[in-house]
Amino acid sequence: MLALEGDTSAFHSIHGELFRGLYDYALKLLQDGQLAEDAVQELFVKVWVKRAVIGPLKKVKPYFFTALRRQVLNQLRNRQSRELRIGLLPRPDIEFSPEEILVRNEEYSSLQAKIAVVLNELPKRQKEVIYLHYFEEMDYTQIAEVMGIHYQSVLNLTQKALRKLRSADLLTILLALSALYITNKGIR
Amino acid sequence: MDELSTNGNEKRSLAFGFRRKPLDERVQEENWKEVEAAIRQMEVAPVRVMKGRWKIMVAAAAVAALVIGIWWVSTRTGRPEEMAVIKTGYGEIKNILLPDSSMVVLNANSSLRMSSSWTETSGRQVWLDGEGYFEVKKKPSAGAKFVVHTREVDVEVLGTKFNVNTRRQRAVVSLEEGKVRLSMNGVVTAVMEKKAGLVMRPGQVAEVDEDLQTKVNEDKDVAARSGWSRHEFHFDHTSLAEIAHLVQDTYGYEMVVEDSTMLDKEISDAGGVRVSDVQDLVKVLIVASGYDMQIKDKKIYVTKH
Repeated sequence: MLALEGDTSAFHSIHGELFRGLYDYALKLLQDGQLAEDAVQELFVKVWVKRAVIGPLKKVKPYFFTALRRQVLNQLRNRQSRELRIGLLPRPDIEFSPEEILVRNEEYSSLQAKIAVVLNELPKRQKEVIYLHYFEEMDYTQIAEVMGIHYQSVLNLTQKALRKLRSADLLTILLALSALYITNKGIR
Repeated sequence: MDELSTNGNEKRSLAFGFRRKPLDERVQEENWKEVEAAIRQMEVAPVRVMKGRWKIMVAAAAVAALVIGIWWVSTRTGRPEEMAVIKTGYGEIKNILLPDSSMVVLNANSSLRMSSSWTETSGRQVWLDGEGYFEVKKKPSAGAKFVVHTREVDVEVLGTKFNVNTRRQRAVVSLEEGKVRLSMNGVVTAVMEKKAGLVMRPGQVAEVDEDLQTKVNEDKDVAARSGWSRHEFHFDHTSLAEIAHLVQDTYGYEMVVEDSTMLDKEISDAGGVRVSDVQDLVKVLIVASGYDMQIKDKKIYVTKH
């Protein structure tokens, strides 16, 4: 009659599936673990209120990421305009850390930090595309939805990012990224 | 086929891949618990924004305050397994509309639990830890009594508006209007028997301590005891020691005095102080006490000028 009227078990399993990705994404955008946790919690509560979760996970996932991104950017904008009194819309700025880089060949393990530096020098939107694609395992259609840009733009950003990464003058990175590039071309 | 669904973060053909930083599993579990609690709370409390009208209703209402132990241990049988829980943090007050249209204002640092299967037949029962102000809707049917359970005492409502608080190892029930019956938990005291309980009249304040010893007094300004639900504090020869407890319970701030005799300082106000947060309250206290107070790291340092 009250409290448990809705079916929270399905919602729980969605939370289980998506929490880690959403949390990491929020953490990348907010750079604060507690704020990231709060953001994900707020997101799930909001979605529950709207009872908007329908369809398979493939559809649900970009929905959550899109909503989270909008929510977090609003949060950042509010914070900015309060603290700095500037009205600019914040651009998500993702930063990769060396621990997040996995170098398969042990010879190159010392290069984690260098790879992270090269990644971090990419323009913000290119970093976000790379992040969502390789980290959150989204396809280009999903990324387009989350970032609110065209499919073609996602492709262009990805290509630009990979080109810059390849031009980095570290042999290992060249090797790594040519492999990356080839893989990427192989997929449509 | 979608390449993304094939193989986690490690893409075999890459010379490097990505991996997530390790994260304690509890973060995810805790997060879900918070989500679930918030969801349940919304199901319990469909109306939470009623500020304007609410104040008027509260102002007219009766007050009972029960101060009890830190957690409630319910040894009662028949305590429902599935509980909906509503919690407030320090400095936070929530208005809750119960399914029978009764209202609860939950004070800071408190929680209210209730069965998830609250029906007319099972009776209206809530468990309180902290402090709450209740305005209970009368129900014509005989079996529809409303009971607030706390650690030491049950408050059975016989049709009224009242406030229950469970802090500081004692219970204080202050009744402005209507009728409530108090029943001790477990032990039958010399003062009252479990069965009959103590029926309170408006204007009475009942205090039940840890050992279930009960004192009943008259208070001509019993309404002041629910001042918190209107964001008001009432001080009438209130010692700084009592205020320190209040600040601790409500905001989680500790008061530190340079000299313990300062705690005896009594503070009075004329008709209640309206404050929105701890900073406001401290400003008022500085003026009223004549002491200097500095807030730092969740502590209030009190010094003589």
